[in-house]
Amino acid sequence: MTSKGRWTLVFLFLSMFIFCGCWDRTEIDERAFVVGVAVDLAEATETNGSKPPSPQHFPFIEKEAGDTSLTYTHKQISYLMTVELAVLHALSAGPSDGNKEGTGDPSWVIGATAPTIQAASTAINLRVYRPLFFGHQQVLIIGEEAARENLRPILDFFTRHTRTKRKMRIAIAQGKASDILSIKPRLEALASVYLFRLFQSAPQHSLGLDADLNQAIVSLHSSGHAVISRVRRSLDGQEAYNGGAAVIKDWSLVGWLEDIETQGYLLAKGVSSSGRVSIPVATRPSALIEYVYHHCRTKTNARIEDGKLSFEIELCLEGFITEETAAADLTTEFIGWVEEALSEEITRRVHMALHKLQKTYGVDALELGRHLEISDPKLWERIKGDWPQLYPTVPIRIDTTARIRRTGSTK
Amino acid sequence: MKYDNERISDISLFFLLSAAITEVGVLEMPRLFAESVGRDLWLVPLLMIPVLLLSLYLFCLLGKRFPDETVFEYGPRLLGRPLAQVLFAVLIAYWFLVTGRMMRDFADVVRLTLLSLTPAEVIIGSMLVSATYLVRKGLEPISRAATIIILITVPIGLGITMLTYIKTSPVMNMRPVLAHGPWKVLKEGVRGVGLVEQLSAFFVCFPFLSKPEKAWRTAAISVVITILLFANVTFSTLAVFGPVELVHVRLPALSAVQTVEQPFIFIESLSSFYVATWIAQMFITIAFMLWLIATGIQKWLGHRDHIGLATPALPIIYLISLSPANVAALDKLIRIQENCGVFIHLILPLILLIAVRRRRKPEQTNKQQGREDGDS
Repeated sequence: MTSKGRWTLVFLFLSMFIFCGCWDRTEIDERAFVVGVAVDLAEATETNGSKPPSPQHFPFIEKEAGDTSLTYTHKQISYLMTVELAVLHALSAGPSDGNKEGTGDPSWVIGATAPTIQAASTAINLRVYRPLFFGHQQVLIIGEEAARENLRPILDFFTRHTRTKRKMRIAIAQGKASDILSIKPRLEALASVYLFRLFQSAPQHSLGLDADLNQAIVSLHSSGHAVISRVRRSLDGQEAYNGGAAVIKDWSLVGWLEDIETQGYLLAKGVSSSGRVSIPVATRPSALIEYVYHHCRTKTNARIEDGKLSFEIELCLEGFITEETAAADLTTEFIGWVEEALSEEITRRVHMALHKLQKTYGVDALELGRHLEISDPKLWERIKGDWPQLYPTVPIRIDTTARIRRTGSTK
Repeated sequence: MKYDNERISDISLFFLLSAAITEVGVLEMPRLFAESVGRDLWLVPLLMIPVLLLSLYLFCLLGKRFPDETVFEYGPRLLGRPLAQVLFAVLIAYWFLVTGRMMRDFADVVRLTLLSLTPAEVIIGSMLVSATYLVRKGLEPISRAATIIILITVPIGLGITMLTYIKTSPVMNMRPVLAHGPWKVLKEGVRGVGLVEQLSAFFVCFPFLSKPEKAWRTAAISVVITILLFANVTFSTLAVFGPVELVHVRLPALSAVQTVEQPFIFIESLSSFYVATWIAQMFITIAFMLWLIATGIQKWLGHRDHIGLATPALPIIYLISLSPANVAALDKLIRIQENCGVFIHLILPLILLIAVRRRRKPEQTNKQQGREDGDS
């Protein structure tokens, strides 16, 4: 054998060890697939003491002169992290309609309490011998109390993790998040998949939100504010309810938007692609007309008149009548009247949302500040420092035009 | 002096340059730009184009003057022997530093996305060994590999990036334009030329071109197209993350791909495909840089060929790649290299061109004197 041939053989032999990537070899049945995570606040205790945070651990904390007499408040927080694991053999053997008889439960919900999400994940691993794999995580549900405390430490783990996907859905549970994850849906084998589909369907009605982790974190990093999905558990524990929204201010939950307010918010934001609105018929109070819009165009303008700042939101909706119980003759005049009534109702819904966001919570969820920055950057530079104080007082005018294009299969 | 066994055509130069330029920068550039100029980051790649073309033009002027020589051959005549030695040392050290930094970045990206448990040493070692195999065969096989890789990977990478626009648009995040004035953006556009380290290859590669007269046109088209692809990646990341979140994301191009969600995309991990195309391009970049180092040392030392010089360079590259203690130190190194790159790509060719001009004047004066003496 020539020298060249020998070297080629040596190279080929060595390549078996260096190119095969066997360090990362993990068989599919050696992983615990996390499909959903719920995080609740387990404990939050405040302790007062005279011991300051260690400066060698936090070099960025500057010690002020004479602060030795101060008492330091230290808040000890621990989270209950509940994960839903997919039991693969039960999933592959069982029918997809959720009939789990004879195949075992395809879902294993298990939790642990720890001061951080990573520590909780490790604590779960003390009972689940397979390493938790977050690459297929569909939903992240955060409990109301945990969200009111601070979202930043919870979200950090999920955005920093190299395997999690930013397209996973995020929601705040009204109540305990672990309760949501332990529901037993009938349409899907796994609660997380059911919740994921539930959030995905939100744009069909616009009464709830379909917020993913990326949208939430982009908004939170930009302003500290966000509006994300709210989820509730039904009394019988059989299903979840995705209606309304959670309002986040400075990384903490400050309140809720109800279903109709959520629709108003989504319409004003220009992200509501479909939804329904009903109006009573004046002549017959018990009768209702149901309108479904399938297109909404929103335009937000910042106006400065006589040195006063105001905003104008123009909405233009197109849709059709799906139901009317007044047995009315749908003439041009009647349709015109319905269009006017619908415009008023939609304006009312937007006003409801804006009132709550602007006056009650002081959260610029419509990014009116950004609109002002785009239309008048110089003015924005001058006032951006005072924007949190200015925003609740700025007048916002809503101008809605609802159009009825069709009336269904009947006249 | 011509290198018949090492020559590449203008088409090969086009693909080689395109593949070589697309390195770690494509994944990280948007974050670096966002850190420097915020919302106006999308303007930086567009501003880089004229600066890169200027740099390329300077290199081509040098190449036109010395089509059969590398800087290691004409350098001593222009600068004098001692100064030329310093220049050679700087160039070789720069290429070592760039290749070492790229290798470390490569290992970090691979560990972050695909092989989280595989030691960085193994990832770096295997890439260097496989690249060395190609380098030993010469520049022409590298360019052929580049042609194949570019033709396969660019459409895939471009297609995946375009998917990010389906749900998002960068337009809102681009406005207001230049709200804080143009200077920061202009400065970053000029500094950006330092991020395209492979331009310095033009100090060496003119004698390896079968048609050096076409180098300017081919290289200019290649650079413009590649930077436009960068710009597309920058727009897509700006659309998905906005200027604030971009600063928080380590590899924005990759994370943006991870947010793509469409019913017709049945592939669960689209980002793995993206990383795969990037690794293939990275292979060419590393091989090309390694060839540059080997050829540079060969010319400097007057060695017969570069074949035996690539392997001894590996331990140095390996040690450099492991020297940054963490990702923050690596970011710092990128910024240092960016500044060095501006000197090497803009100022150094300019100095050499001035030296050419200064050398010409005495020659012309001597010729003129000679003619006058002859007449008399």
